[in-house]
Amino acid sequence: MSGETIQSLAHLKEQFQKLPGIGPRSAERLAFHVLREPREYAAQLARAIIDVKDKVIHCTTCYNLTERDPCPICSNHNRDQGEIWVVEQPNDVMTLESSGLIHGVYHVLMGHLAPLEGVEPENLTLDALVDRVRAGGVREVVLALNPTLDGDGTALHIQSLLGELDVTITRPARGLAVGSQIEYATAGMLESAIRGRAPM
Amino acid sequence: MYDTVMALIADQAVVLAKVDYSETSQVIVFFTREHGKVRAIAKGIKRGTKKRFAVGIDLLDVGHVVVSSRRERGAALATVTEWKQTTANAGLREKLFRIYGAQYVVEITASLTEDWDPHIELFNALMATLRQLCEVSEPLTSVVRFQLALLDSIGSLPRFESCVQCSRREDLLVFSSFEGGMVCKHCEPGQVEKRHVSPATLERLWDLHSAAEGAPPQATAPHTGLDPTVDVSDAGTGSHASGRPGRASSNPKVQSEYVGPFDLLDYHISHLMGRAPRMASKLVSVQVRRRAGGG
Ligand SMILES: [Zn+2]
Ligand SMILES: [Zn+2]
Repeated sequence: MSGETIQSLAHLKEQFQKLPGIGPRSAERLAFHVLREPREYAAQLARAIIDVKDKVIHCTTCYNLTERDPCPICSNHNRDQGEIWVVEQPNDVMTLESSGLIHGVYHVLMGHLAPLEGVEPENLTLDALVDRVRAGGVREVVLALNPTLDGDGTALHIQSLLGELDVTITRPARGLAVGSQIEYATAGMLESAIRGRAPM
Repeated sequence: MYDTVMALIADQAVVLAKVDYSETSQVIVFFTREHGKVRAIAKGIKRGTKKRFAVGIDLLDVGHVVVSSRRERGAALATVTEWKQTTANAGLREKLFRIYGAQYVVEITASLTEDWDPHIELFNALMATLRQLCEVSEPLTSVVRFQLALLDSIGSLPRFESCVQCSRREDLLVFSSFEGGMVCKHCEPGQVEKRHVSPATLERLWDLHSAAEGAPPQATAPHTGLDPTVDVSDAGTGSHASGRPGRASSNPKVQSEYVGPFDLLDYHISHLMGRAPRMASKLVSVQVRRRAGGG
């Protein structure tokens, strides 16, 4: 480009470019798109961005993202409050909910323990989880953490925290991916599947 | 040998660490058998967009890696082009103290080895240690052996059998990391950085050390001139590795014969690293909880 630099356009492009996965070309395309659309569109976009910052909070019970506290899942009396699915991130709640199979409630840890990177128990919502279980009425805690080393370490840590409480601790099955072929399974998948084989 | 413009390097590897690099990429720190520590970027790994990384590369994974190194070796970050996990070491993930033991071992390996500096014997020791840790009921026995193997491999194995200053084999009283070994009670007053060592700890280290060298254990244990009933292995008089009070050995009920050697070698390793390994206190505390009947 030559001639005058249009400051406001350059600024918008700059802001888009900060978004994950957006390079300079895409940022420019998005900026021109906004420019071409009616003013009302730009206002809606701006409002949506501000709203998400102003209105979305963490549920004080389960720490999932919500606009009201307690969140719709925690305050739904048709959900089984005695079954808590422990996950790492709010995204995981969305994924599990999309299965339509979970009747219990959630607890979002807001990450996993990573001792080598300095992520310690006090950086997660572990105390709140223990308090929830201690308060009673919880039969089962399902540790639906990522099956990574840090996720598994976090699960074992939680198991030791809840060890003395009267609650069943479970985790989702692991091993072969459904729809895949044994031939292409990794050593980790195979070993999990072999150790965790179940009667049929 | 690899000082070419572009080289493909295939090797066995253990994953020592991984760091997020961008929205979709991670830098993986591998410890390879024949090329030492190699840092390589795994592009697209976080979204699983690349078929070869469909399940990610996890900490402590053991496998076969191919990296391409664009410049002369060590000059730039390599790129992971292939990865195949060969061993799962799934037993590690069954107990927290096994994970902590393994993480301690990779933490000190990552910290005390240089990029592209091969140590085949250390790689073999690491593989053997991870395998052992999959089955152990306490981690320190394997971890202490690995501490010794690592120190030996990087040329920093301390002298335990005689005074580093006067070579006396009796009256060994304190350990000095700076001096690289034991100091006798006659030379001890001149020593600024030092840590008391119990006779039991010293004896255990002698056994381990001579076993590692394939020699039969010494007929006579080193005489330390200390009351053998008093374990003062935690009474560090040097200040460098302080900050972890109340370690396991302060509680006689949870005293393991490997806690003393572990603490002493960890003290030395902390000096070499310039900081205490993050996993050290966790490893000992999880051991305490477990022995006290907890998880
Ligand atoms: Zn909630
Ligand atoms: Zn001396």
